[in-house]
Amino acid sequence: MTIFSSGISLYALAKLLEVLLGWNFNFSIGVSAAVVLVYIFLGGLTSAIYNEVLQFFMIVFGFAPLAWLGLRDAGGWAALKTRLNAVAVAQHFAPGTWTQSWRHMGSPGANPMGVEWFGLAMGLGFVLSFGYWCTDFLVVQRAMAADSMSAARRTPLVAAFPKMLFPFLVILPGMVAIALIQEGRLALPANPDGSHNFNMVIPVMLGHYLPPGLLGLGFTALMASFMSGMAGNVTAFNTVWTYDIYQSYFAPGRSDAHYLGMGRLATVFGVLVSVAAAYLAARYNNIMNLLQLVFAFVNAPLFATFLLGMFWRRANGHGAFVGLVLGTGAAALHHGLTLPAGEPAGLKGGWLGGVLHTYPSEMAQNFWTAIFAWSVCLVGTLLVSLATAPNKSDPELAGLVYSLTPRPAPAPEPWYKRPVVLGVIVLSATLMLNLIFA
Amino acid sequence: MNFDLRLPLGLIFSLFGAMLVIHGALSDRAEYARALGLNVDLGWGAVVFAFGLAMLFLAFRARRKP
Repeated sequence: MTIFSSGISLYALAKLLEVLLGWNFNFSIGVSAAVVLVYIFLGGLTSAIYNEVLQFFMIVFGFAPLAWLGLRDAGGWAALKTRLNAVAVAQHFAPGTWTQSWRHMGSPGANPMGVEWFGLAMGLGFVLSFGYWCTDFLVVQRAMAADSMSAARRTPLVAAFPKMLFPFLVILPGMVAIALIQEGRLALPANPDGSHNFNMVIPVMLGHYLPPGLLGLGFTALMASFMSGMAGNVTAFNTVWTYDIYQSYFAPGRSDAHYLGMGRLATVFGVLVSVAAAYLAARYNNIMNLLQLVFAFVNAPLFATFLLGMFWRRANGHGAFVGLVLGTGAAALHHGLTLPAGEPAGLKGGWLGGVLHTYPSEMAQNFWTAIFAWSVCLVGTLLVSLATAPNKSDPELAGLVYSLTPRPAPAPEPWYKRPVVLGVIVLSATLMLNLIFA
Repeated sequence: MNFDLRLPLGLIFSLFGAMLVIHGALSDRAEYARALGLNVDLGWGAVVFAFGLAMLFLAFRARRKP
């Protein structure tokens, strides 16, 4: 899964080089993969994390002027709303559908995303988001690298603050782009089949607004984000493989040098598979859809397993295994029997012969794939765990199941470092943003 | 922590900021037509430069009093 994400980043990076420097796509893939491989080899996890911090600031500094100029060009937020209302009406939706988040969620047909409130809240809000923040090893590994329990608990909370602001950096330019395209002032590169290549919105917008100096910073920011995405995912992959699978099951008790060598091999393997995944991503005209599809297949059932494993002491290994297999199977079955509107059967669904349901968009299909995968895994794990004998006693589960794990007394800390306080602030801020942009 | 991340952050952004400011000060006005006629290289470069200097300042201050 991390390899898929890494491949998608690699595709984006190579595509950017292709468009920007006129390099051959295959050559771009090779060069990008080699650069990332070298820097993971030389630095490992620590350097990947330090680089991520550097790349974070790069992205903020590179994209902020784009959002600001775009909004200024549109004539401010109120004027942008008016323009997007015109776009929505031209597409036969209610006027506010491009600028309001919750008001048009009554039915899938009422908004351009083609999702109703349940699919969004349950599919994206619960299954996919929790799945990503709680089970994606890229995210979890960052908290594991923290130096104390309290710092680890703060990791996702602190990350939530900039995450709330990122829509202003990446979604706002996208909204401006929608208005510009509708008014004929901006053209996206076309795919071989004639459709718009939506992956290119940010690069095209950077080229549209930024003068030579800042353009360099903007493109550096883009490359930084793709490289950090790829390096983070490959380091996550080599850790999981070497520590959790190879060391635990295949070759326990070897020397550190042996595991280090294995980790290096895993890194090379991870980069090679990323290259294959990048070519798969090249067949999608919207890589966000592909990313959510991969998450629906992998993270969604895994999240159900984590949930039961952490909070229900009766869950056992058989249940978890059968549940995961069933959940992933349900995702495949759902994807194979449904299709987004206007797509041929094959890559994007319907590959099992019949099409039982047509979704208005790929995103809607992904959300429901995730919901099915999660529910089937949850029920499967529950039933099989109850039908088979528990395979671990309570003392063995201490440290794994929440109710059986001793909780360390919280160290005295100033209020702004307490996880509960931060959590409440994050939740209230999220609620406020949702109300403002409802 | 034995490695202060603010040092490389400060170095790279003060360098980028300085490059942007110099480019912005010397370049032709016509380059900024697409940026709504605003010399954003100069303005934003100054912001980036200030951020870089602030990071450097914090890094050196932390170094002086261990």
